[in-house]
Amino acid sequence: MKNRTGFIKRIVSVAVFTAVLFCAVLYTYNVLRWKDTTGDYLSSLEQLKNTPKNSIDVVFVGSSHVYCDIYPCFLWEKFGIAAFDMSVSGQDKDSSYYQLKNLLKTQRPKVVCVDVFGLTFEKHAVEGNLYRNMLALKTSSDSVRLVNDYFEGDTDTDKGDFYFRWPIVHTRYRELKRYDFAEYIPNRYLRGEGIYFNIGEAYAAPAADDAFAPCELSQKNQKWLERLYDLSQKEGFSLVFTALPFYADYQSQP
Amino acid sequence: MLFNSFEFVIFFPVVAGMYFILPKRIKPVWLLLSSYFFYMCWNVYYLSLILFTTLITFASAILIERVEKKSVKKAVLIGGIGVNLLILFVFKYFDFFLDNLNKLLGLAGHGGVVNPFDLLLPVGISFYTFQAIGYVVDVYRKDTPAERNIINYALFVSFFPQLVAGPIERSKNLLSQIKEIRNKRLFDYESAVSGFVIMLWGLFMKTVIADRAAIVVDRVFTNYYTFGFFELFLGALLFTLQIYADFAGYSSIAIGSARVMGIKLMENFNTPYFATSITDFWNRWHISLSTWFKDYVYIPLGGNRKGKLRKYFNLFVTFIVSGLWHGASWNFVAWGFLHGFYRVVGEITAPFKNRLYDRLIVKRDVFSFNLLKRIVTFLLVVFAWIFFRARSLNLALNYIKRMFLHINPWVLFGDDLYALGLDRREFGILAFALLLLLAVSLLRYKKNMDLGGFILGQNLWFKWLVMILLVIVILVYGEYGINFDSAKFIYFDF
Repeated sequence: MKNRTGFIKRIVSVAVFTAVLFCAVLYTYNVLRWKDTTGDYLSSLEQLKNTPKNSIDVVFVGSSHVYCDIYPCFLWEKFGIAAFDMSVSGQDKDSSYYQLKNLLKTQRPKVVCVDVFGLTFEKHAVEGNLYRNMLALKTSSDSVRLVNDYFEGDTDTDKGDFYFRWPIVHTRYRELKRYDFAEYIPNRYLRGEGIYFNIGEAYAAPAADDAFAPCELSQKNQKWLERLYDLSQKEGFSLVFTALPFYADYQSQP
Repeated sequence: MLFNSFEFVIFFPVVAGMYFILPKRIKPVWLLLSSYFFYMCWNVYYLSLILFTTLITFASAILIERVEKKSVKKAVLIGGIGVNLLILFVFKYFDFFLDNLNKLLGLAGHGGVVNPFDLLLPVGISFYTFQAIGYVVDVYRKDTPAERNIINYALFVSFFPQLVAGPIERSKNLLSQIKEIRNKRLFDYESAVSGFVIMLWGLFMKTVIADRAAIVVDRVFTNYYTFGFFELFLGALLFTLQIYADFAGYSSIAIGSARVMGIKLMENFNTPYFATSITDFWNRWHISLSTWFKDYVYIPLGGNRKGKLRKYFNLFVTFIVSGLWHGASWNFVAWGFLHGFYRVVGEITAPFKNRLYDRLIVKRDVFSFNLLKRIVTFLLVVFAWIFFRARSLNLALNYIKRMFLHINPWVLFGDDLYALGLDRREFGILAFALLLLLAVSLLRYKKNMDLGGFILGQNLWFKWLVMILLVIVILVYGEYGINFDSAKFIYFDF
């Protein structure tokens, strides 16, 4: 009887310890996980989490070109259209598709407007944008598929780092700020907007010429457009493609 | 599969869990298959080598026991050892041998010999080969009976916690425990808890201390010609700490994981940097290897039974062979030679030192005397590690030359030391981790208790706090993931 009581005590002790450990690790992960709240780069996915269900009429999907060019409040004030900029700096093709899929889990937009800047590059040039996009979604089958699609054919990168995330985000102890511990309050009411308080000189007129010359779509680009189309058919939204203007000098024009 | 990898985080609980669930008869088979799987994760083909070593030494031991005639016993012993050493030679020392042969031929004006092989060094070959050889010698000496159960013996050779980097176990300890697996009770809670704590501590030493220190060490040793005394001394000092944290960390994980499964592996490190002499250092550092060399090289050579000169010769040979065991390169030979030199000079000068202490009325049973002895021993060891790390004799000598010819105290008053790869924050983390290591080492030294045993004796809240903090610290401050070169444990090179 004594042995049995001791055995049960130990089982309970192990179970409670495991639960406490799990909570401690989860809290630590929540502090360390990738967040974009302030700074020159942006991701509106945190704001999406705080957006009430089925409240978005129009979604603009794309990179920084979207949050720089499209001001959702304008559509609301002028036309009563509830708009959301689902934009992440440097958003690549695969990320835009899976982030849109993620949005559709809680929203039923009538129109999805996708910026086609993703057609002009395959891989991220900025390391931070790679993490920003690959680590934006909650861990799920879609987040795993995103990593698989993005790194398809890449044998050098350890995909496990992106599946498990800890190998990447644990280094953020070097840069933790207030909003890693507490929620960034504007996330509750912004709808894909970024707030900047910078004061600077006006940009000079960009030196880029007409940037786009006609060319064949690559297989990967074609696949991306077809996937978006299939998604629009399945989910019942109207799909619009747009090429939003952006500041570019001669070298960076695609 | 490294111990500090997610694969091992999945592998170990599955193996340990199944080990406890399976019927007693099947447990050794399960552990054996898991060990082979663990080894195959490194290289599938080299499993054949470990199988070959297992079969040869298994058969040799049985034959030695069966045969009556001593000369035949000896022939079988030599044959069994010889075959295994030949394999070790081919995979580990052939390139070194050929390089030196070609240099000699070049000096004599002849052409070189082309290397017909292009072989990768199988992980752990030095460890399991020595373990198997030790067993055969023990059987020959009648210290242990020959094992008749091939599963038990194969598990002894390839037990995964200690397969790739030790401790180099003795049949009296590990094999006898393996034979008892079928009679053991299912699960020992206290062993499991203390084993888990020891594993966490090993991971902490490896990922937080060793891999962090390695950042500075690699920078300094690679660019030694741009640095002065203080940076070079710091590099040597941090390597001293890195190799200890790396290797003792690995041993802790090995010992801890075996203990979770109720198997007690031998202690491999006992606060070596608290040693008061080089002799004392080798009683505390890589204990499994140093005792192996004592029992199977030094004593067969005659030990100290054939006069002082012969003893010194035997010491030199043992240490040089030990150096060579660590690596097929002259800098390792130099490292071994240096330790042999320390030992011999220490013994020769002992009477003179004692007379000097008597003359100067030096108190020898006081803290300050022992502290000085520890500091001197530590500095001698740090100096020798330069040869170990430098990867070539030439580099080691140039490193030392530069260290003593470029004295630059001004670097201590600026930010130069924070430009060696670790900024202030990272140095701070390293310093704090080293303080923790010092505290645990003092606990070991004073109370003769390992961390697992100490934690086990505490109240629940403290046990939980230590374990949770260790997990969090490893997950947050460990050097792994992006920008991490997956530096395997240093001793894997052997």
